[in-house]
Amino acid sequence: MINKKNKILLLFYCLLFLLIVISCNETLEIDIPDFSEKLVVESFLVNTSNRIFLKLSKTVSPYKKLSWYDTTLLVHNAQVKVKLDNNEYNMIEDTISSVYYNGYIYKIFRKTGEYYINNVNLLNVNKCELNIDYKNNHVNCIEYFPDIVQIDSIQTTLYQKKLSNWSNPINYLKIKIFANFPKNQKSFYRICLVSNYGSLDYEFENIETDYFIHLSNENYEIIDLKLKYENLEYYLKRTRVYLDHITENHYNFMKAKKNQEEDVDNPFGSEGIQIPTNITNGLGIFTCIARDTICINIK
Amino acid sequence: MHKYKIIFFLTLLTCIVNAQGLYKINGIVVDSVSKEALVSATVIIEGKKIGTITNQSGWFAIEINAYDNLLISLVGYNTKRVKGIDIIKSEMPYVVVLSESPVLSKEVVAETENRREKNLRLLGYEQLTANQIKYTPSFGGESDIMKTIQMIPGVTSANENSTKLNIRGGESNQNLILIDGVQAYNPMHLYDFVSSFNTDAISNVELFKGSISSEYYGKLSSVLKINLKEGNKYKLRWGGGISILSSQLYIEGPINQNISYMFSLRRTYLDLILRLSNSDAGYSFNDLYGKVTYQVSKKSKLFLSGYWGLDYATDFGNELNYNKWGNHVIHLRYNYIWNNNIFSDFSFSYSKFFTNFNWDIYHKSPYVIDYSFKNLNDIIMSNKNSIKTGGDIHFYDFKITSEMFSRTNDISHFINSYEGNFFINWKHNFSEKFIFEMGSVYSYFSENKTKEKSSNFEPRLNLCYYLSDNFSIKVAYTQMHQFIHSIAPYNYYLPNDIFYPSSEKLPYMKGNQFTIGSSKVFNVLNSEYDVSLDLYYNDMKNVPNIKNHFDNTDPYLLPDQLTIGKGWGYGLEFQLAKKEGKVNGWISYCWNRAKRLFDGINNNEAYDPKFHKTHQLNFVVNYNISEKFKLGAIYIISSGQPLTLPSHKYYIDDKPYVYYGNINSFRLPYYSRLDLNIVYCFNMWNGSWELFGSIFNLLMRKNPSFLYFDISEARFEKISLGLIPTIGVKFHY
Repeated sequence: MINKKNKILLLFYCLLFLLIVISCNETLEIDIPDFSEKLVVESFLVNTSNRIFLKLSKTVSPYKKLSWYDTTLLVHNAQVKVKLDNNEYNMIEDTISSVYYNGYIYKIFRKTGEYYINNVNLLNVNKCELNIDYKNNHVNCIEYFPDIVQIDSIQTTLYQKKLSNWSNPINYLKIKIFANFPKNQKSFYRICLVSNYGSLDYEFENIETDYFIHLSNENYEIIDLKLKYENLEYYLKRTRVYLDHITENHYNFMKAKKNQEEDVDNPFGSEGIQIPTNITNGLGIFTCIARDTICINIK
Repeated sequence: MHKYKIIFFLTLLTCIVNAQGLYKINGIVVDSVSKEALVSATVIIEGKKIGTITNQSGWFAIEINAYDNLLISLVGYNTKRVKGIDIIKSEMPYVVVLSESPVLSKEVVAETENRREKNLRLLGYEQLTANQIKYTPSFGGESDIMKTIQMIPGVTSANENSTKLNIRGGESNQNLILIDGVQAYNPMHLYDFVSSFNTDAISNVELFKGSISSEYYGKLSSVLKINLKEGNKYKLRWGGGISILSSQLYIEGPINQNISYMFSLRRTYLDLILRLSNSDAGYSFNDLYGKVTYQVSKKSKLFLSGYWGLDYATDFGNELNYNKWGNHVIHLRYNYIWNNNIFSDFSFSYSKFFTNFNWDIYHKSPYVIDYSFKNLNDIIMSNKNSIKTGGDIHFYDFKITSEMFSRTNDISHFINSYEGNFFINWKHNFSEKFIFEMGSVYSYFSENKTKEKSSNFEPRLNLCYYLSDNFSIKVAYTQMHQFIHSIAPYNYYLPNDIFYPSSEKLPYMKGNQFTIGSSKVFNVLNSEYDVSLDLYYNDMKNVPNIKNHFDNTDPYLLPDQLTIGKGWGYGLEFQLAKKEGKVNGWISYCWNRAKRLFDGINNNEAYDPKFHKTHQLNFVVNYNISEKFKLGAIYIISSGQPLTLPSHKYYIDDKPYVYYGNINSFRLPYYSRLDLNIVYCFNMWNGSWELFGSIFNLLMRKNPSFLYFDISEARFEKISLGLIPTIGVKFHY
């Protein structure tokens, strides 16, 4: 027999159940507007590199389901030209690629949509101009290399924090970076922490990346990084810090990209975060990075 | 010798005045049960086209002859007739007691043909009493002032669940919300689902959406005044209620014959429900209202009122993570009746909105504090001329921090600002048919960090012409300014609005509103109806908006993250209302357009704001079936909200992103909803009880409450609230 108290509780749970059941999630039918594709550029020129790399793809209707490894979006046989100051180069489409499947790496010969130029000296380049022609699409962009900001020194403090009594501690790294930051102006940066654990032959693995703006007249910045790895001794044997002086376009692009990632699929979110682009008639980013590097030993 | 001449002259003057039979009287209108002052009650000289309205302390002043009768009326109360001779012989201020009209009485017929008092009010003015609000159906069974106000023409919101108000095309952060005269910053609970206003603590609510008197300034769009109860001066009363969403308690009563108090507390128990259902996250809100009133003398009163509200969200998985935010308001007010002509009000107030965010390694605690001193003076020179004047001084203290989940070291930006305002408002009756009201506000603002100083002069104008006693045409022009910006990052339902003072990079907002309207009162079948039609146009400039790459990692750089633009809107509002009787309510229709234009947004083209609905038709009905049963219903039908459609999908670094087309260029299907509320009144244990049942969205229409684009599924997902029943109980002793 149900007593009065349990009856009230039962009624309450019924109402709660009703609320959960009768509020529903469903698809909204809309008339899909006309679609015409645009070219998408991904290219980051780094002054310390002797290679320029550019990935070219195209847009698709947002109402078409695709997976990230769908290669139909890649653009092949485009005319891609890069002009570094007064020197113009035609970029070549990479035609070798590898596919990882079922524990094996297969090398296949196919066009990749990735264009490159080798053996270029970007150290003293000032202006970079990109022009792409593909079918009836023409996109272009002009960017300038920022000045190199040299790192003087870095102080690091490693600490841990437990989110609760029963969780594993999480590693955080507080970095105080001293560099010749430009004074009296706003400048934009990316800091990358990469490790080449074990032998120097191994590729560098990115531990963490963060973006910041420097505005003050101080010659340092303090950045807190939440490290994704637990076994730090393994990763922090040889650590490099990259201080990338980036353009405002690059900074805005990365921030908006991150904002959209966090906002999408969020029912409480905004009306839509537009990712800015510096590509005329296209989307994506073509940007120049002035990098300085320092090796540190984090204990 | 000169002294005697002066005395003779003054005596002669008095004789002349008395010979004409004019006496200056002043009085206070109060409720018969609680003896609380009644705001905006109308005082008319019967048979003459002369009248006035009580101020926020229930005070009025008027010139009468000994043979005049005064008619004092207010919605929800019986009209009272008082003989002029009785007032003249009595001590001033004269106290007029109004009793509530029993709702089941025969339809009230105007005792005279003169319904002119309905037309004394400004264009776009609405007043709602606590009784009108408490039986209006709303979400979760919680009677909500903001949700009821959204039924008024010209008022809308960006989301059906939101309590934020967008009035005549203005933003929700451009409304001046006053709790007993003190500005409250962000007074919402439950991520804007519920307002902070507890109807048990409230006497009435006033909304100024069109012509706004010079005594109100500081925000661009409209003014919402929440007037708290003073507390029953005769006997102790207490009560409360329980519903699915929250429970509340109130107590009011006299301490002695001069002092009365009122306290009201509300708390939700969502945290208990969520904990029982093994949810990872918890949430609760509380609010507490209090007011103590001290009748110092017949001519003076002292008030101490306050509001304390808190929202608390926590992570059950980790008790160290929490986010709390809230408002604290304290107000000390003193008013004094100098003589038959002058009433003054002095007040000191403190208002704070804060957020305390502790999550993981992120600790942020921004706030805005507003200290102010205000003076208000009503000067009634004659029945033809009256002046309101006064001003205030504010000291603002801002702490602006970086975004919640940004750099862990709390970069905080402390700014102090000062603001001074002086206003004057002159009302003149040119003739029986033509009333002219003109005012101006002079404001000065200084921001300490950048040493930026701003000053602003804004005129106000109201004209009213009576075509007949119950039919008037009004024209109004209002210019407003706003020195304090409220910036909402990405329109999240999170309480992380950033309050920022205007500066060189972020100039203060200015706006104009032109309104023309007419109103008429008429009788049909022994019932009185008000019909009004308003046309308006408004514009605003220096409106800030966030850029798409908004990144508040450094609050010093906040102005650089914003773009400045403008907005404008125009529309037509119609309302047919029956405010009294067994069946009462209103039908309202609004047609409107609103636009926004910002540099660097939407390809520098104008677009519709998110809250914009071109057509809106509302029905509000309250039916007092019998002594025991009351029925309330609202039906809304409106244009669908605008939506921004993605136009392209692409991949960067193997992750999908969307590129959006023109902002808000697509319209959702029309919106409609029917809510019902039924109340059963009964007596139990020597108290009066109300059992209520409420149904939200009775027709179960799947309106989109929340909408988002699922990139991976390549479609829009809509979350709709279906039919939501609620029950609850209230008791009064």
